Amino acid sequence: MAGVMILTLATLIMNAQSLFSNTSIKVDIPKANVIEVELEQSIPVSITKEGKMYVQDEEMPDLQSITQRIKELQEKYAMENNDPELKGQQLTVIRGDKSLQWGQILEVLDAVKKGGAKRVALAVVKRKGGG
Amino acid sequence: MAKRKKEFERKQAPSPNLGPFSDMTTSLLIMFMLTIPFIVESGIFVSRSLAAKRRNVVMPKQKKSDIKVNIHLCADGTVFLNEEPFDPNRLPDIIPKLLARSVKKQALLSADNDVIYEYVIQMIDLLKEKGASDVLIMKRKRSKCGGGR
Repeated sequence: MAGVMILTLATLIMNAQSLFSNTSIKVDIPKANVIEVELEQSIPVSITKEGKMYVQDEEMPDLQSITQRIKELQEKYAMENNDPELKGQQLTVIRGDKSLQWGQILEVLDAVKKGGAKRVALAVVKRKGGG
Repeated sequence: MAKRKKEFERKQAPSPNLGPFSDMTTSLLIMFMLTIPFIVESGIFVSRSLAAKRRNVVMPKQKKSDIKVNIHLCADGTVFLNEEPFDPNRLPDIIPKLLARSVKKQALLSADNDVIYEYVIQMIDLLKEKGASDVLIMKRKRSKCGGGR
C-alpha cells in the first residue's frame, strides 16, 4: 500500500512539469522573479532548443503555419464562448528555450500577433529564492 | 483443533511496520508541495488585452516623452540606456529613479537578434521588479551596436 503511494508520488514529481503546463513539449523555460499571469486555458507555442516549433503538441513546419493555427484556435475560442468579440482574447503563451536567440522568439511573436492573438505572454518559471 | 491452531497463528503473525513507509511518503509529499511553485509555468505579458477599449473607457493619449527608460541590449553585452552606453551593473539603481519621473511607468526594451533569450527575460524581469508597469518590446530595424543585427 505504502509502496504504491510512494510510486504514485514519484511519478507525479517526475511528470509535474507537463502536468502543470498545457503541453507535453519539454522546454527549458527561463526563470524570473516577477510573475504576472498564471497560465489558465492558454494556447502554448513552444520553441525547442533545436528550433522546432509547436502549437499545443502539434509540430509546425514554418511561421505561416503558426499564424494559421493561432487564427483557427482564436476563432474556435470565440465560437465556443458565443462572443465574436472574444476573438484573439485567449491567452497565447510563448514557451521558448532559454538558450535560443532573441531573434527567433521575435519571429514567433510576430507570427502569433499576425494570427490575431491580442493577449500574449512569455513563459517563465519562478526563480528559487526570488521575491 | 487444526482450524483453531491456524486461527491462533494468523492472529500471532507480525504485521508489517508501516511507520518508515508513511514517513517517506509524507516527506515526498511535502517535498513535492514545496517544489510546485518552482515547477509551474507562469508568464510575463508582452501584449495585454484591450479590455479597456472594449468597455469604452477612454485611455489618455500617451506622450512619447513619458517613457524615461529605453534599453537596448547588444549581442556583445553592451547595454544602451536612453541611446547612451551604460554600465549594466548600475541599472538596478538608476531604473527606479527614471521610472519615478514617468507617469505611466512604461519602459521600452529592444535587443539585437543574436542576444540570448534568457538575458532578455532577465532584463524584462529587472524592469518589472524595479517598478515598470509595462515593458514595451520594440523591434529595431538597425542596431546601434557595432556589428550587431
